Amino acid sequence: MPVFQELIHDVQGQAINVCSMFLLLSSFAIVAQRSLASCVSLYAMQSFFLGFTAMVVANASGVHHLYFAAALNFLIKAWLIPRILHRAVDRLNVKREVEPLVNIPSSLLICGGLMILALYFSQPIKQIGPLLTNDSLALGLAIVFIGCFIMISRRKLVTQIVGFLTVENGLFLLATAITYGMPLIVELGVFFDILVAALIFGVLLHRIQDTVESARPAESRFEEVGEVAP
Amino acid sequence: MNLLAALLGIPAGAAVLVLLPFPIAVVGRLNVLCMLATLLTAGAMVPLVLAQGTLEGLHHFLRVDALSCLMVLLVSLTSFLASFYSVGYWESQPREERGSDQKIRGYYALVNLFVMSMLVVCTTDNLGVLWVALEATTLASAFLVGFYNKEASLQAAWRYLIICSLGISFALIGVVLAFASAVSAAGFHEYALNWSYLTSIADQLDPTALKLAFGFAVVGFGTKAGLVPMHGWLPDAHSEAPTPVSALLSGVLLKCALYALIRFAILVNHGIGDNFSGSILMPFGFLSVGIAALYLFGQTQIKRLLGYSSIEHVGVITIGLSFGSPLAVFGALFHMWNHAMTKSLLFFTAGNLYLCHHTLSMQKITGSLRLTTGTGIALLVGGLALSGTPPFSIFISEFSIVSAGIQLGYWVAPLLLIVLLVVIFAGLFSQLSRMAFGLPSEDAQDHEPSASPPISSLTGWALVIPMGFIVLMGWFIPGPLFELFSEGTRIITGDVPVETSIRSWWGNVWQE
Repeated sequence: MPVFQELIHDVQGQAINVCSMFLLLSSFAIVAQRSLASCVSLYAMQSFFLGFTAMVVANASGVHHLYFAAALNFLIKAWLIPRILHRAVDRLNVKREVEPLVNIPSSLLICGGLMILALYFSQPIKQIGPLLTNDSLALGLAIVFIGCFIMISRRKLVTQIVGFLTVENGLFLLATAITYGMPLIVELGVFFDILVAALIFGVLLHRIQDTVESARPAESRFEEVGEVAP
Repeated sequence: MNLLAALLGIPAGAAVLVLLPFPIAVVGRLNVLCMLATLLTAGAMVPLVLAQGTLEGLHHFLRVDALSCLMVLLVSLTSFLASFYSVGYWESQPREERGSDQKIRGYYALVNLFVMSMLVVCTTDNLGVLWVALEATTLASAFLVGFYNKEASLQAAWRYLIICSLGISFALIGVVLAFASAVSAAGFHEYALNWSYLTSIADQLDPTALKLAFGFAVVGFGTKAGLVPMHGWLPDAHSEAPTPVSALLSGVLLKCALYALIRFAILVNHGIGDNFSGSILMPFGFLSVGIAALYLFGQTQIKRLLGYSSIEHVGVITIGLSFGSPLAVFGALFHMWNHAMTKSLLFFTAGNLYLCHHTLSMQKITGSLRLTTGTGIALLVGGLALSGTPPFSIFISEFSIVSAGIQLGYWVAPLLLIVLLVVIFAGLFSQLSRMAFGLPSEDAQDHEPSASPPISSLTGWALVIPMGFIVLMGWFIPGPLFELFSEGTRIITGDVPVETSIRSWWGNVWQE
């Protein structure tokens, strides 16, 4: 029944697109959010959609190791890392993002611009990826850029971590879109690195919280010590 | 194969070994022995690599050619020196400053993991594994940077972790793009992420994708290497880390990132030709040297000064690579080695000065030639060598890079480089020599806290080997090492017969 198969194929393609759109939307939501705990929850949601996207792609392409990667996604990124971060947030004195360097409406506008930039960048590399996931490529790149923007524009250390993790999620989507995922051993290594990085971030956050009253940006240090900022 | 397993196995084993409850003095010496064993293993690989060309192992995951072998040798030698220095350094610090014995054990374990991940970076054939290992070096060294748990060191560790992890994410995009274009060009292949395979099919890869991949790789690995617009983490991390770790960060970690960049450049040049990589790398190189030259003047703290000087030298190496001619690349590889040795020497010297004066501020340290003659001499020799004065080895490598630029017919670039190097000489040597000459300041003597233990003589002995290297290698390069450099140059620049041209150039310099 070729017609039926075509229909399924179409539905799968649509499902992948919808999931990637949700991923992008949750990144925008992180940009718009000021409560630290909500940022972490939004990140968990984003990772959940990422795992779901990977599952649909695995189903559509028949690349079975993606199921495994999707499972790791649910386990590590959607459950374990948010747990670590929520604990870290509970210990903090200040639970909201202080006055961001760029206010939220203009942040959202800038992220819209980054989205267009990502579309532009992904045009020349579109043809080397498989057709099915063509559109997710630009979305993955956009999420990477938005994650970078979060890291640069926010002052709170927790938001910076969420920005970093958003970048990693964007990278995963990008890799899934362009090659149906990297070889399993590399994928495992990347997951391991992210998990260890999240743990180290958590420990450093505690230590900084202990030595400094509240987690302050690195810049303010130089004025006190009187050294030249790079 | 067995050698490769031993090379990675020894540091991994040592990381566990140092955590066992031996007395702390024993742990440090055990660690030195393990590092020595790693170094000997690396040394044993050299004749094999020179004879066979490559060593492979672990199902094509590991592959050592002359270039990797050079890096392995450099990493293991510097780690050995740093571990040797660590013993005396920790013994000479009072307990309340360095922390409990348990903390020192943790330090040794992390250093071993750090060294092991650097060795994986240098030996792996797989691009993805290389990325994972390079990120692992950041993770292993983050706590080393924040070792003292002060506000400043924790902030430095945070900055280091955030900037390097973010930067290196971009390199992963590069890796993914290279992999994707290989899969789309030649179909899925079990080793489609291996350098050796990618380079062999480089001409079939999509040029646009390759260019984009290289751009992302430059940003990513360049962050880790400390190239200028992305260097924000470097001075903080270098100045806040314990001194042996600073030597490792500056001496070899930056070189490992450059090594990754070199591998990418080889791939891109095979695929596109035209020294495309050079045209991208050159602005970064000059920007690094230029900005570092400006910032050198404003520094007040010796380890920050050395950090900025690392940015400068990474820039010089990048410029050498971007010229792309065999002589320039030879100079760049040689410069990597020289910089690692000189910078280790100077960081160890800075550590000794700190142990003696209890400060790192350059205004407060004067007259070290009179106060501690050995350290003073090391400071002078290291300062002269680092600022590129003949007859030390850094002069030779900088000279070969500049003259390669002139041979290629560039005029602006070599001249600009010379001008910048002169500025750097002024900025660096004036500050370092001020610390060596003059009378020791009064408060250096009365400041002496009675609680601190006597300074271990081991900290002095640690200076001997790097000093020997920088003095000797200004005059001649030992045979096997020379062959590694030229073989590495051949791997980077293609099938150009570099051997004869460099030998004769080398001969000419000495006849003049």
